[in-house]
Amino acid sequence: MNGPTIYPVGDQVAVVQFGEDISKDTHEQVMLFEKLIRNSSIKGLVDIIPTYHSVAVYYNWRVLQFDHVRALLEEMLAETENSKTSMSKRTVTIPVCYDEQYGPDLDHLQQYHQISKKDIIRLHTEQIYLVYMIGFLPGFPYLGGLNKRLDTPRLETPRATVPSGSVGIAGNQTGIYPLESPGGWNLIGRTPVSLFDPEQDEPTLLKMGDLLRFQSISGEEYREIEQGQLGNQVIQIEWEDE
Amino acid sequence: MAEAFVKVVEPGLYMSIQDLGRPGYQHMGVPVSGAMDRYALVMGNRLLNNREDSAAIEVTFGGAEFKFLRDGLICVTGANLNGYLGGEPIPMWETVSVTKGQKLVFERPKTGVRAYVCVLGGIQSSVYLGSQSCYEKAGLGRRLEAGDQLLSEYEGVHMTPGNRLSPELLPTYTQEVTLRVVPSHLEDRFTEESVRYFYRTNYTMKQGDRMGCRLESDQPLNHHTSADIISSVTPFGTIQVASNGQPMILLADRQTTGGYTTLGTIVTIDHWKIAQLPPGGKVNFKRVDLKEAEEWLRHWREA
Repeated sequence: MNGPTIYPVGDQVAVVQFGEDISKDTHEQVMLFEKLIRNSSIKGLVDIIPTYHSVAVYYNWRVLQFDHVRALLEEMLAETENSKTSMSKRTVTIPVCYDEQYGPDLDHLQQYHQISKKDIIRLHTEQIYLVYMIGFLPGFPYLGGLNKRLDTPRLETPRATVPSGSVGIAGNQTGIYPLESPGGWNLIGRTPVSLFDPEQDEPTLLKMGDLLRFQSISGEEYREIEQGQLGNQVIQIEWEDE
Repeated sequence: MAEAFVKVVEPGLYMSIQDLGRPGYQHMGVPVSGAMDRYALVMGNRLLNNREDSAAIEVTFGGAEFKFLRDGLICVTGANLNGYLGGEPIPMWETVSVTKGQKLVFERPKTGVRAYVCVLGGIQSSVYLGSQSCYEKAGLGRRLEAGDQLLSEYEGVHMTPGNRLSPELLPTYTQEVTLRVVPSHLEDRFTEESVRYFYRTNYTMKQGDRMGCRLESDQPLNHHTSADIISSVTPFGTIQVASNGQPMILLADRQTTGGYTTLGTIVTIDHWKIAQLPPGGKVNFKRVDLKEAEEWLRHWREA
C-alpha cells in the first residue's frame, strides 16, 4: 500500500487519507493519528474529524495556511511510525426491542431473506460490531460487521420520519438513529437508550473505535428502561486492554 | 444583568438565534451551524463594539416583526428585507437607537434573503456545546416563535448610534453570483466534459435552507463510475453531486460527513454570496487555485 496522502478541501480544511477502502487496518491508523493530533499542542486547529479512511483538520485561516498545516501533518505522520501505542477497547451493549411495533420492516426482511424473525434477531445480536466513525447525525455510529445474510437494500421510498432510537439495516450496514429524522433504512427494532444528549459532558454514548453488541429485550423491559426505572445500568460497558 | 430587550411578534418564514457556530464537535457528528452570512454577523457586532462571535437574530425572507421592551442600540446587517423601525425605513450597517415600545418590521426581500439583528452586548440565550446557534434537529435550541422574549446584556457598555460601515466594505447582493471554487481531489471522478460543463453553465438555485441548496441546469453531470464515495468531510460551500447529476451546495447546518462525490469547495470569501442568494437566482462557478484563494483571504478582514 502507498503511504498516506494529504490534500486540501477548500481553503480551511486539510485531509490526511490512509487508504482507499474500509478496513480494520486503515481504521487503526486513523484512530492512532487522530489521537496524536488531538493530544498535540498545534495552535489553530478548529475541528479534528476522523472518518473511515482519513483524518480531516479544520484550521483557523487567520493563523494557518494549507502549506503550514501540511508540514505539521507530515511531521506528525513521521511520529506515528515509531509510536505504537496500544489502545484499549470498550464493548458497549445496547438493548434493543425487536417487536413489530418498533421494527416495521421485520416482515419485509423475513420475506426477502426467507428466514424467521427469530433468526434475524439471532444474526443481528450475535455479532460484535465496530464503530468505524461517528457522523451524518449527532451520535450516529457507522458500524461494520453485519452478517452477510442480513444484507438488505435500502427502502425505495425513504420514510419522512424515523423515530429516534430506531435500529436499521441498509445494504451491508446496520445503525441506530440517534434523533428523529427522515431515513431509508429497513427498521428492525428500537433501543430506549439515548445516543446523543447535549446536556452531558460526553454528549455521545458511542465513540469511534468502540465495539458494540445488541441485546434483545422484551417490550416490557423497553418500557421500564424508557421510564428510567433501571437508570444507567442498562448500558453495559466492558473494557479490555489489547 | 441580562433582561428582556426585544419580543418576537411575528417570526416570519424562519427566525433563529445564531452566533459563529459550534466548531469542535464535528467528530461527534454535530454540525457547526452558526450564521449563514458570517460576514454580516461579524460586521454588525464590530459596529456595536461587541465580541465578533456575539449572538444575533437571523431573519429569513421577511414577514417578521419585533417589539422592543426597553431602550437600546441595535445594528441591522445582511439582506435588505425592507426593514422599518417605528414606521421609518431603518438604516442598515449602522448602529441605531431604539426606544421601548418601538416596532421593527421586515416586510420582504429587496436584496439578499437573510438579515441579522445585532444588539448591543449580544443576545443572551442557552449555550449548547459552546454555542448559542440554533440547530433544532438535535434539540440544540429551537427556532424563534411569536411571543418569545430575548434577553441582552448591556450593562457597562457604552456605544452611540450612527456608527456605520465604510462604504467600500458594504457587500452588494445580486440575483446572479459567480462563486470561486477550489477543486476537489475527487474532480477526476467526473467526466472531463462534465467538469467543463460545470464551469461554463449558468445554474439556477431551485431551493435552499440552512443545510444546503440545490442547483439545476439542463444537463446532468456524469460520474465515470459511481456517485458514491466513502463518507468524507463536507466543509461549508462544498459542492456535492449525487447520481441525479445536479449539484448541491452544503451550508451552515450541513451534516458533518457526506457520501457523495464532490467537485470542489467555494472559497471562504465567497460564502456570503451563496448565503444571500434567493431561490431562482443564477450561479456561475469559476475554478481557482488554492494559492489564489489564500491570497484573497489574507487581504480580507472578516470571519
